[in-house]
Amino acid sequence: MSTSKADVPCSGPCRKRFRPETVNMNEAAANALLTSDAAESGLFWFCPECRCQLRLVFPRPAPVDHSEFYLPPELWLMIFQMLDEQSLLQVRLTCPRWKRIVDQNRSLREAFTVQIKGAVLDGGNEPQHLYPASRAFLDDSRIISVDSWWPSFGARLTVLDLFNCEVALPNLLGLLRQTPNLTNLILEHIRYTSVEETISADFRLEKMQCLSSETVFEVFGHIFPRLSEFTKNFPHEEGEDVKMCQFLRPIQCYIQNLTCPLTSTMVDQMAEMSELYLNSVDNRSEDDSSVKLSRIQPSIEKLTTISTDANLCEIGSNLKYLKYIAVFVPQSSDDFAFVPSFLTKMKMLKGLTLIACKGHRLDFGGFKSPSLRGSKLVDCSLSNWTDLFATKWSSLRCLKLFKIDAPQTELKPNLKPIPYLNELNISNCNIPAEMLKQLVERCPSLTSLELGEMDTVVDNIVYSLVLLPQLKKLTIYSCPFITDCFVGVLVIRNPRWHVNIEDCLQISEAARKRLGQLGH
Amino acid sequence: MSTIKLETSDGVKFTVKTQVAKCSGTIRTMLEDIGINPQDGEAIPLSNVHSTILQKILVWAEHHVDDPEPPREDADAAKRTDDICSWDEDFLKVDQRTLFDVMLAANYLDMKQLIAVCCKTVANMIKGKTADQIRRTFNIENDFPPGEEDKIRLRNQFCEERSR
Repeated sequence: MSTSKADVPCSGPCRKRFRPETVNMNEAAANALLTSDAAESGLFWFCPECRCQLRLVFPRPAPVDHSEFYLPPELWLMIFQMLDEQSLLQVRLTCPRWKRIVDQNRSLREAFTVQIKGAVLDGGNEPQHLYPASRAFLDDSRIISVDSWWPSFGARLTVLDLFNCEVALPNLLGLLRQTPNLTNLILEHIRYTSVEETISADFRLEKMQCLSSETVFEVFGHIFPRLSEFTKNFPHEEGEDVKMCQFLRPIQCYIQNLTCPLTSTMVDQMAEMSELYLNSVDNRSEDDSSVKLSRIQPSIEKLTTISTDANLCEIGSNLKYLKYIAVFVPQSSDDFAFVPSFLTKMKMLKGLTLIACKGHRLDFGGFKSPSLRGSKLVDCSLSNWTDLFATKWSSLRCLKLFKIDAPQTELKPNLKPIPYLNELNISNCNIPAEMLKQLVERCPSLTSLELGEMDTVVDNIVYSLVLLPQLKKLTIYSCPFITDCFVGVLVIRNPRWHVNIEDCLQISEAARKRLGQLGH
Repeated sequence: MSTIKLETSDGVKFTVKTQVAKCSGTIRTMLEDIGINPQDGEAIPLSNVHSTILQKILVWAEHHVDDPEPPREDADAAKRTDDICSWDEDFLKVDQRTLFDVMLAANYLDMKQLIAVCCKTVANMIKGKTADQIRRTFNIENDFPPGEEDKIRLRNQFCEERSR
């Protein structure tokens, strides 16, 4: 920075030049003065003498007294919003005004979580100095009675997560009665010592939106009258699917997202709920319940299912608004080719996730999916490498390949590019180096590339990467054959990317340092 | 090159490129919506900004005048405070009063990027410090009623132990 050493001109009558450090001017200001034409930019600087002469003398700034008053609370709030939980706790301790700012702003308070672990809550055993939090995790505890301290604590809660706790259902309801602001409730690994539902649930948590529970009680449908999301990841016990329907019936006009294994009984009962319009369903039953559901719930836009191609074709015809689908390909004999012809039925589809099993072949055949924006393929081998190219993927923006085998095939020279693809993520795949190179070269719009856990990612791929005109972010992890040569080429070409290379054993510490200086 | 005149609270007049002045949302609104016509040679009064501070802010605006619109950041990105560019870092190496005055003026002038970078700078002055160190950094008087601070501190400990 040779210019910073240059002398800055005084804009006053003396017209002398001064060394910036002698007049207490920092480098940034000096540079700005030197690089701009003063007359044009309006940037002036006056030496102390001229300042006196021109009466531009200002009182020397003193250290700020009581800075908490100097800036208005809204600016402190903006500053505090950039702090982590630990710093915020210290800010609360600093002075009453700052404590008030933190306590009165929900956006800040949400940083705080209280975790109560291994406690016995029996009314008499009040945790000392309980912090007023909006989220609470209650782990490995026994809940017997919560009369004393819980009401004032529970009133602030929006998220409550119970894990591995022991409680009688009436006591759980007693706990919930005091949490009028709750929006999310998670009940995981709960041992119910009593499931007596007869006690009157005479309260409603109107703000509750998301419930996740392994056990369903009919009473949930009454105390959470506006529930929009329900998750039950466990298979149903005997008769529990009937209970599910009793729980769904009163909330049928609010519930939109349902994650739980469906049964035929459930689908039959749901057919009678005239106000039920589901938007998103995650059903991992291995029967044809998804097909049956698609006949009665045409509003579904997002579906996760275990289904054969034939069933998926019917689902595609039934669900006109389907935008996202995740398919688990059913288990089958070893040499099995899955042909996703259902894609031709799903005209609106924007996102596709296909999860197969090791040994499955995926054969894209001739289908086209004109609106597809994102696709994720997991655990299968591609029958034909060229399937990834050509017009059928023309609208694709994001492609993720995990555990994909692509057998060595002859490279065809004139493959069409995937013109709009900007995010490519390949990990744990077996794709020969030259095929990988070809794929990258056919993605002219790529902005973000991630390669991980691959033996076939080698140094010379860097020459393909530096030709990508729009790349901004490159992440490489656990690729053992990437060496300092790769870094060397990058440093010489100095692309303005955000580069992150992790867990690649052949990259030296020195190369890592050079990478850190990239992009400046 | 079109220029406009700005007049600070202490009566100093600055001639500034219109493009640079428009880094300020307040001035932009005055020019575009309210239709103040700077061609008349009349200076726009900035009654809340002192000339020393305006001078500094103009240096910043001049440097950042060609910056692209920042992308809409998600909440996590907005929380980052380690992404201040080195020019801004040098620019804000000033005494606390100047930093606060720049912030107040940037707030009055509605310069979001400058406010953000100032907030990050102040946040970095708070991070990793104890309450006592924070008080010394910002010259804040501890006027909690006696005993109150200990009470909150104990609650903090509870939260620290329990937070995951």
